[in-house]
Amino acid sequence: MSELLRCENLTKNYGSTTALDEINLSVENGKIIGLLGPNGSGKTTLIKLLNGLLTPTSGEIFVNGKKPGVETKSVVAYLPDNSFLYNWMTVEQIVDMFCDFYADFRPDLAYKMLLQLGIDPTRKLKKLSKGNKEKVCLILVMSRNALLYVLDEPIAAVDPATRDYVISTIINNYNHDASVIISTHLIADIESILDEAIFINKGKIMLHKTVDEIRDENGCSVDQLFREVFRW
Amino acid sequence: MKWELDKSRAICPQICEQLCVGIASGELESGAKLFSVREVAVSAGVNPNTVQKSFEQLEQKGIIYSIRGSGWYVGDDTSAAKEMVTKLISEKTLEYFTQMKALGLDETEIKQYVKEWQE
Amino acid sequence: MVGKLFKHEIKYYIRSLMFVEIILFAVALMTRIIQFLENDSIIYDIVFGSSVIMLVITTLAAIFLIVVMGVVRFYKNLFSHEGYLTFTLPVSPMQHLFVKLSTYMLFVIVTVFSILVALSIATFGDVLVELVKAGAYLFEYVGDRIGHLSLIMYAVEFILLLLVSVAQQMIIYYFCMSVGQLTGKNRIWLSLGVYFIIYIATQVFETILIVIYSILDSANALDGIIDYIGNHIEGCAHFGLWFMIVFYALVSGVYFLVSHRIISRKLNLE
Repeated sequence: MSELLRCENLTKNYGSTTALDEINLSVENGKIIGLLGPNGSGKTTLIKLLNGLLTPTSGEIFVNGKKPGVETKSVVAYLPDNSFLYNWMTVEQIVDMFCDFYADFRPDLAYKMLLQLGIDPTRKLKKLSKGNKEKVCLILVMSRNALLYVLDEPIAAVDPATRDYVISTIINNYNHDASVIISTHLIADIESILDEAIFINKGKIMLHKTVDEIRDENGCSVDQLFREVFRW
Repeated sequence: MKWELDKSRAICPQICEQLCVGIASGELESGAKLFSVREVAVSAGVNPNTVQKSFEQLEQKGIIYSIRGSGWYVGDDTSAAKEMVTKLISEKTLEYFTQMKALGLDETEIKQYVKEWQE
Repeated sequence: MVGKLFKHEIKYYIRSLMFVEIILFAVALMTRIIQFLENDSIIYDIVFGSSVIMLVITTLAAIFLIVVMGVVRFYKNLFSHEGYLTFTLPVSPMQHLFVKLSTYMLFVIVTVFSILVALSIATFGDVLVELVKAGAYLFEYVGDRIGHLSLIMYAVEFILLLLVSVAQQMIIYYFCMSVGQLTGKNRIWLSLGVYFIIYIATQVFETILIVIYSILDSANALDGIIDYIGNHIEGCAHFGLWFMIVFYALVSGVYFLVSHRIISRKLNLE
């Protein structure tokens, strides 16, 4: 049992706006967790903090027991909601780059997935369609053998068939030592693969339970509860 | 195997139920090798931990058993599975009756409809 | 990891500069070949002249391009959407900055060498031999006057000063871009604004120095110093050059460290 993410009274302010307000959170290994909340709830801020792209205003955040930095970056695999690709490279070149920087990267898995999705590795990234770019981003992240996967809206910008592929890939990739945090609004599509759900709003965590607890206690799906809770 | 899962109920028991239906009907034969946890998770689109829990629950009831390094197998004694299916049937029947009553029918009328439908 | 960063940074520069390099050498070669057809006609003059002009333009383009690349590469790789990948690589911000600056300087040197080689190609033969002879003669002449060691030292100091100035210029651009990215919408305006302020501030600072000098001079307060310099020109010249090298290096260091601080703590990716 290891704690892959820990937040202690984590606060992040942007000027006078509080994006995260004294968040306390713990994520163990071997879980698939949904980070669910409306826009502006603080999801993206939390994700950026855990990736070391932002520094806390106060409080602490630990990834696998360490503060975000070079060491944590080698065990975190992040899929942002926009393409992060260096468009001037070809698919092969960016796969090589991931091999270079990440000891846990599995190139054979990456090539297998590229083949399955019909993406030609010799193509230049800038020539790919938006959908294909998203697929390449996903393949690069899922081919890592990381401890913590952080997926920001992994299925929002892809077609339904690809959504199924993304979900199968997440399930297939599951291993007991790692955890996956999925931040999304498309709860209905993703809730069956979740172990736990975190509801976040206005920088505060409103709920952190296992999904079956939610279903038993409320007699409805997580998606339905979400709509109830976040009704206008 | 086709999986029909109702997201408004806990998923773990639903997996147990559907496996029991398969076993009770003979579709999954006694002694036959069951799918792996991962295979079920992928085909049902469900979290592997949930499937693991379901398998463990069925193992406790003696419906399936595991062989280390080999996988999960359907147990020889299908009575526990059949019991579960019977329970399911009565639950569904109750559900049906409740729904029909909500449409304004009483018990006699419901039975009439069922008879007519059978013909 | 730093090695890997260098590998990728160098690959990027090679890929981007290759085209200009090829053109540079092609034009130099063409200029040389044209000279084989030398004659007294107007046509030759026009063709040769055009070729020389093209060579000059290409040379200027190469210089312009390397500077632009230094800026664009920095911005795109760190502050555009690429930043999401760059800053989640298991590499520290200091390593990123160091590699980017070093590779830029490397390719500035490469560009200068290419230009020299291209010019040599263009003037190959009698002209080049004459230039080399003249250079050697000058070296001996001056060397005899002030000592060969001193001459070599001057050369080293000039080159160092040049390198530090080039580096400082790019580091100032890094600084302006780092400050610019602090805002959301008006990054470019803020960067330009910061650059403008630095420029004005530098001018003001220099003017103040000149004014102080003039005041002190007219009050004859500097006579002692000027006499000393007059009697020790060599030593003071070297000292002056080293002073400037160190001063520019320190100023660059400050800009570099502040940029690093901004990038580490106040990254603002869209």
